[in-house]
Amino acid sequence: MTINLQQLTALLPVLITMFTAVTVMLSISYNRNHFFIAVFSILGFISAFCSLYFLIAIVPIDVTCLFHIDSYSILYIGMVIISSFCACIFAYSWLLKYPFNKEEFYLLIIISSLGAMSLIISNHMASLFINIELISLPIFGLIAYSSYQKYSLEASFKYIILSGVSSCFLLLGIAWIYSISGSLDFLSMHQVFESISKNEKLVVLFGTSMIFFALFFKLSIIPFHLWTPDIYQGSPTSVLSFFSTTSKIAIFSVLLHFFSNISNLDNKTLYFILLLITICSILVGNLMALLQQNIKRFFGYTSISQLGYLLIILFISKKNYLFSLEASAIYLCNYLFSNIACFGIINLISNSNKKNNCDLISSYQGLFWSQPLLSSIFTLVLLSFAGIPITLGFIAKFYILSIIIKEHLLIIGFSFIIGTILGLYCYLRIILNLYLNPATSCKRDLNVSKDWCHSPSGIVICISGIIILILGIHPNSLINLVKLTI
Amino acid sequence: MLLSLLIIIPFFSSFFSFFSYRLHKNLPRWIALLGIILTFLFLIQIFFQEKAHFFQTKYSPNWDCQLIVPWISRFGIEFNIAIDGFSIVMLIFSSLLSIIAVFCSWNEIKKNEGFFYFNFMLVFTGIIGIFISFDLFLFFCFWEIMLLPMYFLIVLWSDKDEKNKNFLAANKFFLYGQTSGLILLSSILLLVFSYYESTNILTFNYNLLLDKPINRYIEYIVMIGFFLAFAIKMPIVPFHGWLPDVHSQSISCGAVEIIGVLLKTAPYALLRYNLVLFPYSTEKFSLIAIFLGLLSIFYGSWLAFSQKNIKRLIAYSSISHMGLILIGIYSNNEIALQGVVVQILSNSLTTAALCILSGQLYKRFKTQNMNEMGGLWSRIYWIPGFSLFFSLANLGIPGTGNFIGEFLILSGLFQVLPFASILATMGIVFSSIYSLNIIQNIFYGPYKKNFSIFFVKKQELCIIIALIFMLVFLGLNPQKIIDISYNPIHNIQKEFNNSILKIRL
Repeated sequence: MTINLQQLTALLPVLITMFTAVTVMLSISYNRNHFFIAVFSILGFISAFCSLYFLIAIVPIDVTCLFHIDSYSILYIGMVIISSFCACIFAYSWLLKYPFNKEEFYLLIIISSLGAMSLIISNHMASLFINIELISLPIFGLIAYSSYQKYSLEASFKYIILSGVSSCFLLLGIAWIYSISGSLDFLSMHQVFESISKNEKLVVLFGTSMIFFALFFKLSIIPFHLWTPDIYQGSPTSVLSFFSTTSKIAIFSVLLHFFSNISNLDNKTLYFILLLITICSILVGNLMALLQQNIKRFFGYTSISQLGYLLIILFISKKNYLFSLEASAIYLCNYLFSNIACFGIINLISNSNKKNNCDLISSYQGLFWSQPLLSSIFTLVLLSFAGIPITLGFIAKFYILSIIIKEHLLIIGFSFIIGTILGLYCYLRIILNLYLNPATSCKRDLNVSKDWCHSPSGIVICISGIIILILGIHPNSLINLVKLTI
Repeated sequence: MLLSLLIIIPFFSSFFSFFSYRLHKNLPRWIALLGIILTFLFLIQIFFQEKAHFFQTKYSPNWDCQLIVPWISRFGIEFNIAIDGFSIVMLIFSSLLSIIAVFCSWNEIKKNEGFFYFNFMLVFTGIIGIFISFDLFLFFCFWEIMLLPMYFLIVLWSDKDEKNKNFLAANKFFLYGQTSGLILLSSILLLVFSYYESTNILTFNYNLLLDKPINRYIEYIVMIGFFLAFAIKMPIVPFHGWLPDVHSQSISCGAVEIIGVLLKTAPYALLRYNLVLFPYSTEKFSLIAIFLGLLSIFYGSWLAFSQKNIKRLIAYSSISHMGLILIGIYSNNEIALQGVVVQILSNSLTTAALCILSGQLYKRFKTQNMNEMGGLWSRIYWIPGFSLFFSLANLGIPGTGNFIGEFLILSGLFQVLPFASILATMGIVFSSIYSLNIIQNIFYGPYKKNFSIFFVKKQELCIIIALIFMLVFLGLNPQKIIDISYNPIHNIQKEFNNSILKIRL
């Protein structure tokens, strides 16, 4: 197998990330220097991001039979790199206080984002499976990184076991499909499905739903969601900002890719299952979020419903593939920036807290009066999650709603409206909490330094807040960018 | 260009007033006042500049004064603002009422003034935006943007200590508002996409959407969606749950803003959108709407009669008047439509005044329960007299704008549906009962508590007197308002009738 220069260029972001990982590993074994490694890995991500520029001219391109890079995946790779970059920045201030080995954290993040990048461009069942594992395995370590804290080990164990089970499902599903199609390539599957008998179709259907279940598990869609709140609660915040965005963006992009390839497997049952799952995740996610007291658990449950909205895109991917690509890119963009800003703020606050137990919603009470800018950004982010105009979240919701209306998806439309109203109520509770009179007990614990916005993580938070606002008022630039990549 | 200033000034003055709080405690309210007055002056400027157009009789498809900037070209959304006679009447009145609301809160707001005026001006921006936007998406944006600052106004600055009830009321307001917003957005999208299917033009422009070759059934569904969204905001009886709670929990200046201005956006939108965009289905629906209106009139006035809390009483009376406005809108008669305009204005004046008066009473007695008051006539200066005037105005005595409004609506309706008109007239009897009830309970009879005689401050006096003048002006010279708004209202009615005739042919 030969790879020419053009294909190597196409793999440039992946190669740069690999190089960063190796260098970080070597440097750890030679001499532990936290600052150097943090800066080096951040620089690695920046250069990987810049290298995306060289890809624009040469896509679409196939690299062996494993990878297929098109302009669309460039956008997603960019998003993944941004989220890993932000995770490194958020982690730095947290790791300064961390008593044990600090440097491996960056290594784990780099490897996991390597998996995410190659998952986005994978075009083959083998690379799909391997890269999903490559994303998940470092995340076990990341979740358990603060193992001295309550719930952390529990969360990690939960994720290891359940993720293992879901990988088994994935393998099983791949095997079932392979037994009919005789190939692991996405593209050849597409051709095989057009000429199969009814019995064979059943087998393929079973295999497909197995693969779906595995992917849905990673996306924490409803029947496979039980791990989500516990793991959100147990893991460190800087890990969460990485985990909730990178893995979900990558897996959703591959899900969309996979779904578009099997879309000629027109089946009522599959459609019905998808419908049920979507509606349940929208409603249950929001309903459960209503009852939460812990802010991390809260965002765990709302992320379920957020991804439930995202799943609606799958319903039109057959009829109107281009529009679904556009909608999903915009939705994920909003998801990325909102999550970064949101977990960045939570990270900032829990770092500045002496007792390190600032996870209750009530501990944010009256934040506005001591930190007006920070809580304004937080409000903006929550509004963006809820989808109120002049935030990017509204544009994303607008896309989803226009899909629903355009395709006359009546039942989903109802559940969307009910879910959105429930979700609003949830977010409203937190927003209101920010503006109440501060409770006396929390005032002593919460002392974010005055110049938080000059620290690197503060800058990241501010920038993502501004992006949410500006793209919400003037979404043209984002839409044009997304349309360029399609 | 002048038009964009109408949005820019209040929007930026909200931010200025927020940041100026650091400089001086009293600066925010001055900035807010200045912002509203500047907006008002620009409105007057536009009014005189375009006066010839407002009085013109020829119907032109272009609006008198318009600004179009492309916004989200992917969906054909434009930043499209325009103004015509109807909207300028609403704009002038809402800015006048907002000035009064600022004066009301002048000395009342004792904490976080910066944030208060920030929210206040944002609400004002939203209201102005609603009245001048002619792009459905833009309209929706303003419709939504208003909600959140209003929510904060209700929650953070109510003068009561019952925190839980407060949250409940505000959450109710927000959820009802959001439900209405989501229904509105879905129906706008449905309208736009069905327009797209038949003409292949993706647009949110109001003028383009006016001639819509869309399916009758879809038109009906969209019409119901619009109606529901506006009826929740108005509020009409089955959807009225939020208003009494919100009203009784919010401060008096917040209440002025809600009842006086915010609620009036819904009848405006009904007139502007429902009648003209969906003439066929509106005509089919009008009987149901008139029934709902009658229901609101009776339900509102009966419940108002049984209330103990003054503010709840005012809220229910407002619901009952909204029923009358709804009937007027759906009566398909030009006289009634003109009556609706006058009634919208005068009703907001009366209810705002009653709110302010009840706020005055609450400030002194710390209660809104009517049973705990009594015999105040000899104990307070000015307030009882004013209250008497405004409650009589509320039930529509001649000489006030309410009388003109009610008379025009009822006589217009009589030409179309005499029976409904007679029924609606009976509603006035009930409204007189509760109006007299409030006066009797609070001001006459033996007094129940001992307190010293007090005077009303000059500033408060001025506010009330200004309101009285406006109301009497409306009552004595309604022709001015009718003239200004004649052209658009006439066009709305003509458009509506024409399309029905076209369909029938």
